[in-house]
Amino acid sequence: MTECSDSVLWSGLKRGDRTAFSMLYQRYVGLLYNYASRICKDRDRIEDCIQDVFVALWKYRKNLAATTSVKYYLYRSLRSRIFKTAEDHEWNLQDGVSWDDMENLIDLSPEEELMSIESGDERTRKLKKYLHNLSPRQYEAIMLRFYDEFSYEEIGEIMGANPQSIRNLVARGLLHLRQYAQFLA
Amino acid sequence: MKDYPDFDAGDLAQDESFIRWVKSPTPELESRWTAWLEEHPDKAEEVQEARRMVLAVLSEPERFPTEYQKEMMWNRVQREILLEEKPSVWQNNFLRIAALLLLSGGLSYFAFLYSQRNEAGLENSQAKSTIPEYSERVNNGKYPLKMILSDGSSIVLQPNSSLRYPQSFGSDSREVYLEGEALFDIARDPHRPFLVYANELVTKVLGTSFSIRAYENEPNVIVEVRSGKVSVFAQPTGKAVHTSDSPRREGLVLSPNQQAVYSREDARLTKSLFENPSLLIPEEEQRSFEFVDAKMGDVFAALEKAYGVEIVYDEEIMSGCYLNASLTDESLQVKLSLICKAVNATYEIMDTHIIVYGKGCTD
Repeated sequence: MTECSDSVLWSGLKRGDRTAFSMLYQRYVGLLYNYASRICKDRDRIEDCIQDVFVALWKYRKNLAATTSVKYYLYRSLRSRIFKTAEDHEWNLQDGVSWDDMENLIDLSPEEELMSIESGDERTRKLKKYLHNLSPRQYEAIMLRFYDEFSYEEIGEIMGANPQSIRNLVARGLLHLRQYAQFLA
Repeated sequence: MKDYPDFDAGDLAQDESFIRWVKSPTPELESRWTAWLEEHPDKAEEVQEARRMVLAVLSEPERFPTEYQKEMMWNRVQREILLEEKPSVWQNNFLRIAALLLLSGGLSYFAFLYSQRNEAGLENSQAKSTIPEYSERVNNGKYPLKMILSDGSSIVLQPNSSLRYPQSFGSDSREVYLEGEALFDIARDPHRPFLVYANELVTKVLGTSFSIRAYENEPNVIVEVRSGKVSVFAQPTGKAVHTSDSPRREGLVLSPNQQAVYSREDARLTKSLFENPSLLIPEEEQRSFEFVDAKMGDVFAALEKAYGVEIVYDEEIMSGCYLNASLTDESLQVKLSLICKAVNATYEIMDTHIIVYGKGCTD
């Protein structure tokens, strides 16, 4: 199997190549789902929005810009759909308590244990805990920056704000995180 | 970037090169940041803190769709696209025939042709090989239903139960979805773990025999193991675990004669013995239950081996005890009662352990 670059697939899609289209779907559906579940708790809506993004991608393939970063384009389309369909957007990451509680109950493998000792164990855990006390936008911007490695310009486009305010958002989020972990622990 | 003169942990954590360094250090990044640290020894604590922040963010749980979800979404995308492109599709002979059949009530035939066409449209595509087609088998009858999957695994589906499974499995895992109750006998394939999603519980095996009871309207999900080893982990409704990162979430490991009970109300997973553990050794070996002046250590070892249980007792207290008994096809509980009576002890079953309380034997 040959690894096609995003740009090859993208131009294939613009030409109406179904194989390129389905490869793009395969490549990004997991990441998109993962991102969406951080900003929306409704699984059905996530699925609907992801479908809509890909249907629109095919439908308007001829009008797509040539040089766009594919990942960024998909994230942006997905996000705007999620918020458009959400009259009552609620910020909620946990569906009840079970997921995080389960995570904590489960034993770490020896390698993971080693890793967490190396990384300052307790402190990291505290920081992690307070991540969910940040504002939704702070949390989202931080995840896009650290996890997805988008640039501030791209995050700005995705979240509909200018790059400088995204910088501030991330900086303030990290500051809060430190303070929470320091004083509330 | 520049020199990072007044940088604190927050600034460092936002730096692209710093994030890369924490995530996946290359020799280049390594030397760059070590050099920076040597120049700024006073920032060592800030660097540590920044590292922890990045790690904390990166350890957020990931939620990926299951293969089944991916396939469902893809199918719906395909369907919508086909509808959009109606005019050209209409000229297709297949669909014209299908439409006629639809009028005469051949609905399933239409579905068949439709899927044929779908596949034709995707010729050479990755999607065909990576997204398996799922089928569903429902047992509405009164009797258990035996089915064989494409990998040779056999499954007995109990009444009022259903199983979704792909016609052929993917190359890294075998995933099925159960509603209700079924007994699984899984063909061994270490390269493709077999995963059963049932309500909030995921059961993962390499090859073994076990049963799962997971009815939508019952408070518990129960997994019982007959042979081999099985791991069980919980997940909130519908949030399937991506197979490649599943080791992180492994909950319990079950051995034969053990069961996992997942309480759906308080999301708790516990391990215990079957109510009536069965013998795990072949019949010819059962004569070892003839005990003549046997040391208790040997007696308990024989039971442990035969039933795959662990017996906990105080060796010192029991050292003066010897057993004369001929045990055959009594249940484990009866055997234990007889033995304990003979040596002046009592026993108790706690999760998967059997604890024997002895007072010692004096002759």
